[in-house]
Amino acid sequence: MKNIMTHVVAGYPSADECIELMLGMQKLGVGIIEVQIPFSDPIADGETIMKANDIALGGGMTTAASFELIQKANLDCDVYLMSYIQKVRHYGFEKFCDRTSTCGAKGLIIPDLPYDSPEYTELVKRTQGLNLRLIPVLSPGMEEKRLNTILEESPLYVYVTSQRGITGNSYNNTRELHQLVAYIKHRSSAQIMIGFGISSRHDVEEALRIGDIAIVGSAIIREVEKSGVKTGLKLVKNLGS
Amino acid sequence: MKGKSFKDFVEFVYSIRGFEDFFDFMDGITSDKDKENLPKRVEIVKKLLSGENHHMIAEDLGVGVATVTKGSKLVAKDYFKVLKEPEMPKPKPEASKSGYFGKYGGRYVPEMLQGELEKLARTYDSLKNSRAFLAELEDLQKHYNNRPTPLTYAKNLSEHVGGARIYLKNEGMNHTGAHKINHCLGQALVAKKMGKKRLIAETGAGQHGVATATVAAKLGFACTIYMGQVDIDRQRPNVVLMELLGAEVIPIKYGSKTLKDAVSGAIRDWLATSDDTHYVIGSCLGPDPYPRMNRDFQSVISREIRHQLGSSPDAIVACVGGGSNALGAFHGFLNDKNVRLVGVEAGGKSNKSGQHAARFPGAELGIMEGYKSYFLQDKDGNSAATHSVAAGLDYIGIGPELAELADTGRVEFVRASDKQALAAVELLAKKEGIIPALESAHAVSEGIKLAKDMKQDKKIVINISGRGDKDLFTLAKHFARDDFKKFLNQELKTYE
Repeated sequence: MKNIMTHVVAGYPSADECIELMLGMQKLGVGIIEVQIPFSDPIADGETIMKANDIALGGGMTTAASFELIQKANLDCDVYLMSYIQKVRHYGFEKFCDRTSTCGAKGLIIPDLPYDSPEYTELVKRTQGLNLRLIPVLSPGMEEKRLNTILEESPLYVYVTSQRGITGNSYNNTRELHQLVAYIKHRSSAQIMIGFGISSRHDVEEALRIGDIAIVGSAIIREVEKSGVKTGLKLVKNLGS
Repeated sequence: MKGKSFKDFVEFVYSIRGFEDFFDFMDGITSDKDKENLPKRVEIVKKLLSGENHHMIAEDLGVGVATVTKGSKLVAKDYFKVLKEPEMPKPKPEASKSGYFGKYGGRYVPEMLQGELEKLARTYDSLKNSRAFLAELEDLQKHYNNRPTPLTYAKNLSEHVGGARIYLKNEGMNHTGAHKINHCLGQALVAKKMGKKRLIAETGAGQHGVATATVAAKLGFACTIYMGQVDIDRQRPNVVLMELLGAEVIPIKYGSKTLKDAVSGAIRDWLATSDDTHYVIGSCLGPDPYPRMNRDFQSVISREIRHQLGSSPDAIVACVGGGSNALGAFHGFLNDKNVRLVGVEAGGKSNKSGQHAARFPGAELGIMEGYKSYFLQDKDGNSAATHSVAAGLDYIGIGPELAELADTGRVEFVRASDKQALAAVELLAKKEGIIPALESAHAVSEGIKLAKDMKQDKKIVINISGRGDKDLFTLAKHFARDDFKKFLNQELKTYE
C-alpha cells in the first residue's frame, strides 16, 4: 500500500465524505494521496474525474475550501495537490504556495504548466523557500528534448502517464511506456509514479513491475459514484497485497 | 488598344475553369511565335523581380536589352504582382517565437501535446511562404470556396441610416455559408502535408463543424466533430449536415454542454490520437501556433476588402466570439491608424453575469483551453456561464491577439444585445436582401449606429461573417412563431 498513490477530488462526493475517503485511505496504508482542487475545465482529465470536478464545484468547493478540507483531515501520509495553472494563478502564486505548505501538502502536480512559461518560473520561485516539490507529468510520445530538460532538474518524483490521452482508460504496460520508463531510469534517479487506467490489483502489480508508485484515480471515483465512499474504500483495500 | 474588347477577352479567359480546357484554349489561340515568346517574357519578369542585371538577362534568354528594359518599366508599374514571391503580412503584434502576443497566448497544454504543437508550428512556418502551398490554397479558395467573396455597397441601408457609406463584406457567400471554411481549408492542407489521416474539431453554432466536415470530405480525411448537447439541440440541422458529409458527431453531455465543453472534448481526443489526427481549432485561439495560423488564413478577408474598395475604409466592424472573422477583417488594417476597428460582442439578455458573453469590460486574465487571455470567470477562477442568441458568440474566451489589441486600444469593443441582433437581421433582410447570421447581425447593429454618426463621404465596412440560413429555427421563433409552430406540427405528422 505504501507504493500506491490514490487520487481524490476535494469536495467529492461532498466535503465530509471526501475527508472520510481520505482518512479511510490512510487507514488502509496508502502511501500518498493526490488531492485535486476542482476546476471547471480540467483538460487532462477523463469524463469520470471531470464529472467529479463538476459535482464538487456544484457543492460549492473552492480553492480556499480545498486547503481547509486538507487541513481538517490532518493526514499523516504524504499529500500532493493537483490542479490546473488557472486555479493557481487565480488564487495568487504566493498565497497558493503558502497555503499548500501550511495545509500540510508536500508539493504540486500541474499537468498543463509547461516549464518554458512565465508561470512555471513564478511557481518555482514561490515553492523554493517552502521546500515544496513540483512533480512533472510525462507521457509516452513526448518530445525527447523536453524530457531531457525536465530530468535535468532532478525531480524527486515524476508522474508518468501510462498512455497518451486522458485518465480513465484500461491499463497496459505498452512498449512505449517501457521505453519511456527505461529512459527516465537511465537519465535520472527520480521515483517513477505511473498512472492512468490502473483499476485493479493486477494493474497495480503490472505498474509496479516497471515503476515505483502506482496511481489509482478514476477507478476509485467510479466506485464512489456507483455506491458511495465505503465501496470506494473497498476497491482501495483490494488493490494492495 | 485597351478598349472594351480587351477587357471582355480577359474576363472570358478568367472565367475558364479547369486546367485542360484552359490549356486547349491557350494552345488554340496562340501562334507558334506566341508560344515561344510568352514564356520567355515571364522568365524576363521573374529575373527582373529577383534583381538580376538587364544585360545578363538579355544574354541568358537571347533577347535584346531593349526588350528587358521595356519589361522593367512594366515591373516598376506593378503589372506583375502575381509573379512576386508572396509576402506574408507583417502585423503588430506578431506572436514571438514563443507564441505570445504581449503576455497573451502560449502553449498551456500537457507535455504530451507540446511536441505535436511544435511540429505543427514548424510545418506551418515552412509552408506559409511556400509558393506551391499558397497556390494550392488559393486554387481551393477560388474554385471550391467561391472566393473572393463580394464587397457590396449597401445603398438602401446607407440611405436609410443617413450617414457613412456602408459596405458589406459578404463572407456568407463562402461555401458552407460562413468565413470558418477559410481556416479549415488552410489547416486541412497543412494536415495533409503532415501526413494526418483524420480531422477533429469542436463546434458551437455548428458552422465550424460543417466547414471541417466539408473540407474533410473534399480532401479525403476521416472526421469527428465534438458538440455540446445544448448546441446540438438548438442547431440540429447542422448535425444532420455534418453526418451527411460523413463526419461522426459526438455530443458532450457534461459541464455547460456548450462550446467550451466541446473544446475540452476535442482536446481530450487529440491527447490520445495526435499521431494521425489533426485538431482543426475553429478560431484564432488555443495554444500556439493556432492563433497566428488561423489569423493568417482568415486575413484573406482584409486583403480582399482593401483590393475591392481600392482604398482603406474609415471603419471596420465585426462580431467577436473567439475572434476569427474579426481578426481576419481587421488584420490587414492594423497598421492603418486611420481605420477604426470595432469588435462587437454578445450582449445577450442583460449585463448580468451569465446572461451575456461579452468579455469587455469585466473579463479577467486567465489560462484555459491551452492559452492565456481574457476569460469570463467566476469568483474562484472557474469558467463562468455565458449566453447569447448566437451560438457562435456564446463563448468565455477571446483569442490572444485580440486580447493584446484590446489592451493597446487598437481594437475597440462594444456589445449588442440579443434583441438588437434580431432587429438587425430584419433590417438587413428588408433593406438589402441579405439575411445575416445572428452572429454577424451583432456587427450590423453596431455598424449602423457608427455609420449614423459619420459623414456621408466616409466608408464603413461591416463584416457579414455568415449567412442566416442556419438560424431559420431561431428566426422563425421570433418572427413567425405561430405559423412556424403550425408548420412544425404538420411536419411532425409526416414523421409518424
